Amino acid sequence: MAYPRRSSRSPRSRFTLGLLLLTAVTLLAMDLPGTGPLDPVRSAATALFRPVRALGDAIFEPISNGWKGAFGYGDLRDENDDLRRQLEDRKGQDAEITRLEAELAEQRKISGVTIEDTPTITAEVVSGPLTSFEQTVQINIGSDDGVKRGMAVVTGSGVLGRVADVRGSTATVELLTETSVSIGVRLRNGDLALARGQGQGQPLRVTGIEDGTRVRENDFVFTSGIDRTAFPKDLLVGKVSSVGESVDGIPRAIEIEPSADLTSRYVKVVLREAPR
Amino acid sequence: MSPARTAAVVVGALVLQLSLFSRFSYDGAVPDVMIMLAVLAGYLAGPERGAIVGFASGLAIDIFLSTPLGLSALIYTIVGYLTGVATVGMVRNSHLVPVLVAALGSAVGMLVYALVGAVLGQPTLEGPPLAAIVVFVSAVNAAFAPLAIRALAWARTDSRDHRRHQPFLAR
Repeated sequence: MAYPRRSSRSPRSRFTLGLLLLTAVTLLAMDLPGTGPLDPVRSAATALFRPVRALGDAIFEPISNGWKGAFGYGDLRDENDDLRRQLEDRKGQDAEITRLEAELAEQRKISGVTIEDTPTITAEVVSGPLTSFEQTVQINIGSDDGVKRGMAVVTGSGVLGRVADVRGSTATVELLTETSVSIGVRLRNGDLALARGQGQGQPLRVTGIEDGTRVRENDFVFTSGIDRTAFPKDLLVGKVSSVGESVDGIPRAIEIEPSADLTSRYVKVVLREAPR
Repeated sequence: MSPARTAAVVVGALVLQLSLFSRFSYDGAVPDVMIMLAVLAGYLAGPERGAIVGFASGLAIDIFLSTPLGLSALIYTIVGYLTGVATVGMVRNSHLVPVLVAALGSAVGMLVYALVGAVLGQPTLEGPPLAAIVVFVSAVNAAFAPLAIRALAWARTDSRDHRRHQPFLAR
């Protein structure tokens, strides 16, 4: 080898390691509580790097599109089959949907609160998870557009998640399947509950359902719009995929399959802040 | 090691990670070339420089993640340092060795990341299966290890070194 390697036992080597670890731990301690004292630093660095990243995106997007075209045929076929199945399911649910729409319209008339009354802004999903340990997507609008942490993000088919982090012109959205995300929901009979994510690819879970509560599979579940939430009421969350039984006095749980396409390219951010 | 060239390598890898590698996934797992830099810097230049490059590459990717700032920097620093320590006496007469080191180091790094993240309350164990992450990241990093080795070797030399020494990879 042309160059000597510094021994791991040298004091300088250990001093450098200690210094770097101390710096990393300090940054972690400052940023871990989620209070965001380092957010301005992150925002500035992201803004500084944006032109470089934009150039990289322009260069590499055709490559990734080619890759997906070449190796994603099986996935597309499966997706197509799945969509056909969903279409058949939907046909069978027409009557139920019509009835629910009428019920929803009635409730909107009473409450006077609709999603249309809440301003929304359309955004494009510009990036999926950047590493394996994230269940987030990035959108191309941020604090410059009035987006704030905690705001609801929806697609045409339902709730996608909530804004977890905001920078100048981008925001990070936590998907509703994340365990840290919980949404107040209203069941078919009007009962209120809290739906919580269980991780990627898993349905949402609602616990503490009393025996007397009438819940059936395929019931649609909507946001309740209460409990200090940024989510307006009556947004479609999903439909009940399984109903558990109460065992030994433990109330039953139900699972909800999210209705939103979690891979949607375009989403809407509901510009409503959570009450403090 | 030239700081300017090392910074250029880290920024180049960051652009590739954000613009190219993050677009590919297998079973939800996404490649992570930043940890490969830490591993191979430790292998090439020893524990101290492995730790420095690990810190720099970890902090660079941390800026763009929603996880707390410093988490990747912490893990990659440790991984870079330990790789340097573990490979001190290693025979380096085969092009296969850095490939294996990149694969093994990346696998260990992903496991440590998932566990430390979970301890700190991050949802690192709730996403794609950990086995898929370890296998996919290791495979991708093994495939790109020769390229990263060349980039890091370039970072280790500067114009003055070229006049005094033969290139690092010349054997």
